[in-house]
Amino acid sequence: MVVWEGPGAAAPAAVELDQSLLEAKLSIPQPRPGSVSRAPIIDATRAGGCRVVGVTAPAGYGKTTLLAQWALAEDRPVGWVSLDRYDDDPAVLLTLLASAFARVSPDNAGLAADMGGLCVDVLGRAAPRLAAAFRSSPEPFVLMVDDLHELHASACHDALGVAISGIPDGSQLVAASRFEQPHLPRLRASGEAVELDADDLALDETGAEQIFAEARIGISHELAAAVTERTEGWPVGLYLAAVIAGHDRDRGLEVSGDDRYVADYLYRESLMLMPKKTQRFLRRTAVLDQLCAPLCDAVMGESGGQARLRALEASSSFLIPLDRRREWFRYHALYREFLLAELRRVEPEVLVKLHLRAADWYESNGSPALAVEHLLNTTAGDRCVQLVTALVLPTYNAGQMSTVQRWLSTLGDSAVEGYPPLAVLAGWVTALTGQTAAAERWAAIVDAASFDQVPVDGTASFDSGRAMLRAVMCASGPEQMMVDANAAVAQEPTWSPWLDTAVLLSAHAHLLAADLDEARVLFVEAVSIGATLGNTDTVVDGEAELALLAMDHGRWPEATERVERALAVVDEHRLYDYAVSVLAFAAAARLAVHRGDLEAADRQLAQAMRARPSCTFVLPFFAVRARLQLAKAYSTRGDQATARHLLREIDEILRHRPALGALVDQVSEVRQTVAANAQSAATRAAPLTGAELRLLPYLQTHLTIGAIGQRLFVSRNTVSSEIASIYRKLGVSSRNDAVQQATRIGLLGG
Amino acid sequence: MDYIAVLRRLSLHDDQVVADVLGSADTQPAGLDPILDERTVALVRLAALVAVGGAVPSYGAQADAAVDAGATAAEIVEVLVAVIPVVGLPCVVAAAPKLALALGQDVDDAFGIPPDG
Repeated sequence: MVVWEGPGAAAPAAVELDQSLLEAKLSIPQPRPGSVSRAPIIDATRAGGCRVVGVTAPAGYGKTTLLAQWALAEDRPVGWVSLDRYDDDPAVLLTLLASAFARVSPDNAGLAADMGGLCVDVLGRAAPRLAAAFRSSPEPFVLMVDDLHELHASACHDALGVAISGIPDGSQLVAASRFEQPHLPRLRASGEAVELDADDLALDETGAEQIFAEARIGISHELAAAVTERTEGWPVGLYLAAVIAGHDRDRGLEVSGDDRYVADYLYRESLMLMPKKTQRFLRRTAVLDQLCAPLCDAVMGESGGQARLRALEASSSFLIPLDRRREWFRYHALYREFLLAELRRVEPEVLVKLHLRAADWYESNGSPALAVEHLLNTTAGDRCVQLVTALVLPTYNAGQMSTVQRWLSTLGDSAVEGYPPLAVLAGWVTALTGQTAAAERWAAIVDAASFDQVPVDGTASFDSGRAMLRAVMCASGPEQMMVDANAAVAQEPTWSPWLDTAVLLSAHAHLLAADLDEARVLFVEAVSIGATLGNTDTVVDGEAELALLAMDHGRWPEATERVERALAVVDEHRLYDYAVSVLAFAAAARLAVHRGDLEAADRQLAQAMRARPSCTFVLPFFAVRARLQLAKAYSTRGDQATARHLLREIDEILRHRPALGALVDQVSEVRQTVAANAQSAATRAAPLTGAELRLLPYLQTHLTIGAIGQRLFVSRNTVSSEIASIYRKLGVSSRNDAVQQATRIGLLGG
Repeated sequence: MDYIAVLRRLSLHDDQVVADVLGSADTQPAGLDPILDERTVALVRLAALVAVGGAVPSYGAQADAAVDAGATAAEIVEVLVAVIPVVGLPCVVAAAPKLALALGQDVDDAFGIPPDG
């Protein structure tokens, strides 16, 4: 629950490095002078006007060149995204698409921020929000996505599919990938997409002649035709043939085939033509996803990277500049794979050392997340685990949940268990995202673990971190929670980034013990520390609780002020789907009911109901308190039925966590109030359950019931019964209508 | 209209009695003051559903209606047990997984989970 500021003084550099890498991903690459013109294909595809264009061909077919030439020739504004393997995360992907779109559509400056936010519901909120922004673009645009094959996570393709549905007629999304693009077949069937494949991209003898001419090798028309036929028009094959022919004419012209072995052979031939030192430079820097001169120097352990990169850029087409200032480069993908294979063949012993040096450079230049990616390739497990421990919460807070999950799963459960402070964080992450089974498992592991060094996540000690996790999960009842929370408060020093969390938990423990005065004092303290530390969730939760306490005592002006403060933080940081925000929405609803502003009350109630699935029994007092407030608000609004459904959910939570102190009595009180209050005449349909709310976003996709079940780890039966239930509650009978109705009542979209 | 009159007219298959007793959907019952509370009515309907052997969506609708009327999940499940002497165990065995799905639990699937899963 901590916003982490990066390692000390390196923070500004971090921002700069991340910024220039982002800049590189979003800039349109300049087509290489002299590359074969793709104008006929580009013109035909533009004239075709399909909303979605797929360019699908193996490496070396000039996909990026085609896109870059198109971008240059295009008269509509063009947004560009180059994906890499770190973008295999739906929140990251949508943020990149939104950033690229914001460049061509200045009205949408805040769009990228809407894609992120703590625990944002990517498929249910961010993706439809992006689709809506596409749809309402006042002028047509073209969005180009290169290297789509870097996306493996099905969540990415689901989100992309929803976003693509918003591309309006007259605009185009052009995506290049080595593999089949999952969204294409369906769109092609309905005539909304067109696909260019390897056959379309293969060069003819005119192209071959141009490539040889560029390499200053004169060949006859017949010879060009023969080489084209032997390479089957594979552009990289032709290019390599020309390079080799420049040294040994006959060998170059004998080249044939387009498979990987031939590619490796050709690359090796071309590599052998270079000086030994250059060969070594190429081989060793291939461990880098992107290169800049200082990084190359660090990895090589020598200077002169700048001159070498410039020379390579001038002499070969395998080094691709990523930004306008020509500071960042990457190797052509196929070439890099070859170089890495060479590295493993020639000097496998240096591989780990190179990754370590790259990690050092990224860490000291303030980009620890990229350092982690290199460390994951090494045997330096301890260092990697420690770095991940320090990064889990900031990355998580940035909404990049799948990145954290990828780290944790790449490290493996046993590595996480091996460093108990990281297991504590895994417990927090799983609890705050409503992964109940995993959270309970981590809690058990943490309970059994011991660790006597100083953890690197900023907590005072492992015991203190563990006490806080135990307190928030409250598995052993309120007395133990009080002991744990107070132990953490006692241990965390005044400068600790976890102090506000400890104080907040202590406040909650006092609330459960019905010691309202002390709870109030502690909430005030937690909010003030949290605000200083910039810990948004402490502020949201503390202000919401203080507002509710104020309402209980009739201090409405104070309550108003506090609710406004909590909601302002929720808005600013897009915490709409976050477990802690549910209580803030509930408090706002209660306030609105009191003011008689029923429209505002319904809006806040809808927000709270939508966010509540993340608030589960592993955060028992949050989950029960929030639902209790909601039940009260609905009951006062005259909707006893919804109040009763919420009470039923509370029963479920109490089944797992029966000991919740004063809350249990409050539940009985509310139950009596609900029974006594009259149901207003109009009975509304029952609210969607948490499971139904989690399923709802998938109705926007074209996934089958079975596939949805796989995404959610539930059975086919469960999915079909939940879908029937969603339709019944929304009063619809088709998937489209369900999506439209859910969007209308604020359960989908941003 | 007293209950004897209702019984007599029902025995004659008097279509009109339904409208007279239940009233139209959105107004108060016309002929008969409701004696059973909403919660009991919802539970009785659920019991009848078990007897006639409904499908999952019907169980979903009836279970939601029961919760709407203030029944707890435990009470809803107790209905299943209560009707066994009349409808027999096989009927209830057929109903149980459907009601479970309606309450958000897939018992068939739960049986299939390996011990550590």
